[in-house]
Amino acid sequence: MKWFNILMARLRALFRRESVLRDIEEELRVHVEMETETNIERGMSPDEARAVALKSFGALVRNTERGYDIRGGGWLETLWQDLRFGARMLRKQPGFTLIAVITLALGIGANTAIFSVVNAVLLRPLPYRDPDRIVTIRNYGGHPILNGAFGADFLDWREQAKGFEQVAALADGSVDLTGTGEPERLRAGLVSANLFETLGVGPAYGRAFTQAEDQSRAAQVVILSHRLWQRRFGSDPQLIGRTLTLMDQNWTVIGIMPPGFQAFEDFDLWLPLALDVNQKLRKGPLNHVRVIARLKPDVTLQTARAELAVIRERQRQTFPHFFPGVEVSVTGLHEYLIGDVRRPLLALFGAVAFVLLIACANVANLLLARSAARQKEMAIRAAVGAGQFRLVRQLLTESLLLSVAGGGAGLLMAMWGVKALVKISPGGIARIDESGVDGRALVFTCMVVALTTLVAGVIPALQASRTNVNETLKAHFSARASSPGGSRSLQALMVGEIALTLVLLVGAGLMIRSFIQLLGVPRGFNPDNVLTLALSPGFAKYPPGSPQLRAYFQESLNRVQNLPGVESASLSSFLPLAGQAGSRSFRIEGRPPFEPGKEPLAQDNIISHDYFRTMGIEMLAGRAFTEQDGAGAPPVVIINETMARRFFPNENPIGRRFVWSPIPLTIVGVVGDTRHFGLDQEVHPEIYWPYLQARSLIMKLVVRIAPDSNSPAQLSSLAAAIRNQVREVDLNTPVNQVVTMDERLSDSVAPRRLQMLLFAIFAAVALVIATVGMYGVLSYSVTQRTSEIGIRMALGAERRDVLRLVLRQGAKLALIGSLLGLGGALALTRLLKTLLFGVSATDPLTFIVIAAVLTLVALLASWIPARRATKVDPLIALRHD
Amino acid sequence: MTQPKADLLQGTLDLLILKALSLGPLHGYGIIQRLRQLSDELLEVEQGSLYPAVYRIEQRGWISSKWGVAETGRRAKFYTLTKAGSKQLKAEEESWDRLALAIAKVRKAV
Repeated sequence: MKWFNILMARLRALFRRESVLRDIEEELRVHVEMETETNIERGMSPDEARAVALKSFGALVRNTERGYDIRGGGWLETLWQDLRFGARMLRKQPGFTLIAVITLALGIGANTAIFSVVNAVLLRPLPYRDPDRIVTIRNYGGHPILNGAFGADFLDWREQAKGFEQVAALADGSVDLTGTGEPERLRAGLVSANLFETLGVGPAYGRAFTQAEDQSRAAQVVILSHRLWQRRFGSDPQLIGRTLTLMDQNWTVIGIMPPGFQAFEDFDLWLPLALDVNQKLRKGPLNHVRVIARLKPDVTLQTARAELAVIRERQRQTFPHFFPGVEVSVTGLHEYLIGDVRRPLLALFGAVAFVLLIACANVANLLLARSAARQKEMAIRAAVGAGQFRLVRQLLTESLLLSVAGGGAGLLMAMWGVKALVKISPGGIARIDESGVDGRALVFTCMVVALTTLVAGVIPALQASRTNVNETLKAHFSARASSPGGSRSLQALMVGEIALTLVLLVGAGLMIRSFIQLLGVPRGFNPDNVLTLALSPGFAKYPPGSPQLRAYFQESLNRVQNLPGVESASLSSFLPLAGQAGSRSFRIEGRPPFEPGKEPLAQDNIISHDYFRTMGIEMLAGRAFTEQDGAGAPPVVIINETMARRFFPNENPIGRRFVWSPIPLTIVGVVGDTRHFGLDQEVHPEIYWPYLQARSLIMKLVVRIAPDSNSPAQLSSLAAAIRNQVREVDLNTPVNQVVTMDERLSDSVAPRRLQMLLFAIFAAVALVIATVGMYGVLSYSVTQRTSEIGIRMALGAERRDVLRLVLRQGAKLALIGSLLGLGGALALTRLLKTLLFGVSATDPLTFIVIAAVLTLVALLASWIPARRATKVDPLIALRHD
Repeated sequence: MTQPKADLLQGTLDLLILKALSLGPLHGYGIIQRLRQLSDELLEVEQGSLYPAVYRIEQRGWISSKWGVAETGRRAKFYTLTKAGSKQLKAEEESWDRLALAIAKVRKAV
């Protein structure tokens, strides 16, 4: 407590300096008067008495000050003095201060922004009860369409696995809300009754589903999201118990979830999954579900994995046709949700850390150069008794001021930056929209500021305080002041800065090359002027495979086809790059069946006859479908190039047939490949069916717009016209997802584009900072060497020689820095491996080009100081000191 | 002031001030007077050293101060020994005695 009392006394004194001084003065004055009186009593004259008293006392003022030194602010006061002095020094050099603060603001701002996102997405636990115990169980391996889980798997796992408290399932769906107001398509989560219990979050109002409601489809009950309840029903407290019209049937609202509740997707409402127990027999189409489970308290992930592997083995034995190569994985839910974004985010975090380091090095450089200029000041202060500690403290205080200012500006930048990041981030990053500069981000920023102060300030401070008083003062009064030590640190820092910048630039270069490679991947379709929208009438009115459904599709197609400005229109069940595909197994006529457990899968796609022309997919052999390939005609299919190459390597697939009942399917054509899951994914075999011969459920309408009506205004009015035409087919069916293929293409590369863009921005910032640093270091060195240059010129050196002298120094720094940087990049870029596409992490071209560019930029930065050096007038230079 | 004065050992001033105040509250001038009395006029504490020492001791919490009225009717600042101060005084007296004893032994050794 003693130190606390002293601290408080000093603090009080600091803010009441005047009153403390007055108190001391008063006390001393009283003392002098008392002594004077005593002296008078001893027989002195009043004047003499007072003189003696004062004399024995010493100068009153001096003692007041000395008293204050003890009773006053002490080290706090020194700190205050340091701060004021530092601020004054910084104000006196606005150019230096501005550059340093902006540099630090860029570094700190970028770090705070990325940290805020990392915090929201990676660090914060999921908002469920005991989120660490929640896992997701998935199939993996084989075709991407098999990833996730099937209803049958869920039923097996729930029944047989003992390591879980709960195993729950959730399927994505969509339902049309009609009846009151505008018909609307809503995102529905079809959930097993125990899903909410598994997550440990119950409805805010009403109740959850019961087991019975999950057993049959008879119970038509629905739970709404808080957002839908607010938006569509004005938070009506009476809503529970009322009925809504969903899919043309009456559903009773039984609960409202709390605000912000999400499970995988941001669903509008939840319905019972009511999985058909026949799913277990794995007959007919398999339902896709996502499985969430809660581990029992004493069960580890390993134990759970082992148990599920045993169950998978049992499944294989029961069903000989079980998908080959498909294994089971158990992953923590949080781990799973952030799986794809962790690496890119951490890579970005690393990149901004580099930017900050470069910024620190640069500010350290500026401080060093300046402290060299202040050497005389330091020497004089040391000569009159300032201790080394005091000098270091003074310089650190200055770098603290810079960091705090930079941190403040950086914080503002980060607030803006986080908003921008969230806005441009591609969909699918869980919880990124919750990013913000919050308390944790503030703490992080403060730590960064403290670190920056030390990193940027310590070297210059130590350097300056090590000033040899005698040498410096002697140099000042005799010859030129030059400090080899100082400029050596300066150059070392510059080399480090260049090396760090090179690493960052190489990272960005690899990202950019990956992106170019990605865009260079043959797409197999022509995305220009193609508009798509989803047709998905409710199954209640349009049962799958029914004539009504087909009529609905045909009517929509006809209406749109006849619109002016439409070149062609067609239907397709799965569009390229839409992230979905159907799949089925097949058998080629005249060949032995595939070995059980090794049957290949093909994607299937149901299309109308004009699809290839509309989408711009190339016909490689045979013919396209025609309107004659109808219900009564012989069944035909078209395969893609990959399928032709893989299964008919040395023969003409046209005319070959797939075994199918009752009539085999004849291959009539081969078309070019398209990718459904992204340009960076591999192409799978694909079979196209004419939609008049197949059972189609959900179709997309694809419209190619005539080249003469593709201005933005025309496009949007055409989109509205298409929407209206489709709506008129059935007023109760909403029209969704009106997207151009260009947008789909751009969405599919969005995550990589963002990654590349951010890396490029950070690298560019680093390059600018390093360039400014290089310029600063050489300018400083030219100033220091003015007299040397003068002497050289006086002795006959040409301007060319002087130019070369300075440029050589710059080139030396750039080369050493680049070499170190190349080494660093070789070691570090392998961490980016998984983020790259079509380019090796040690791509020599990128490395060489980047190193060359950086060296060139460094030389350019040296050019201005070099030019200045050539302008040195020998006469003036020699009189310099 | 013609008598030879004893020089003060570094650190003993604190002990003396605490001792003076252990007999009752005093103002700064009073401390000097009392020390002079107690030492039979041998000790003349410099005012210039008294106040810094007093302030330092006050900050450590061994004495507390309060403005009051002196015997002459003049306003003056009085210092009082605190509990912590009494403890400190005892400790310093003991250590001083030990030191004095040690020095005496060393001196007699020859």
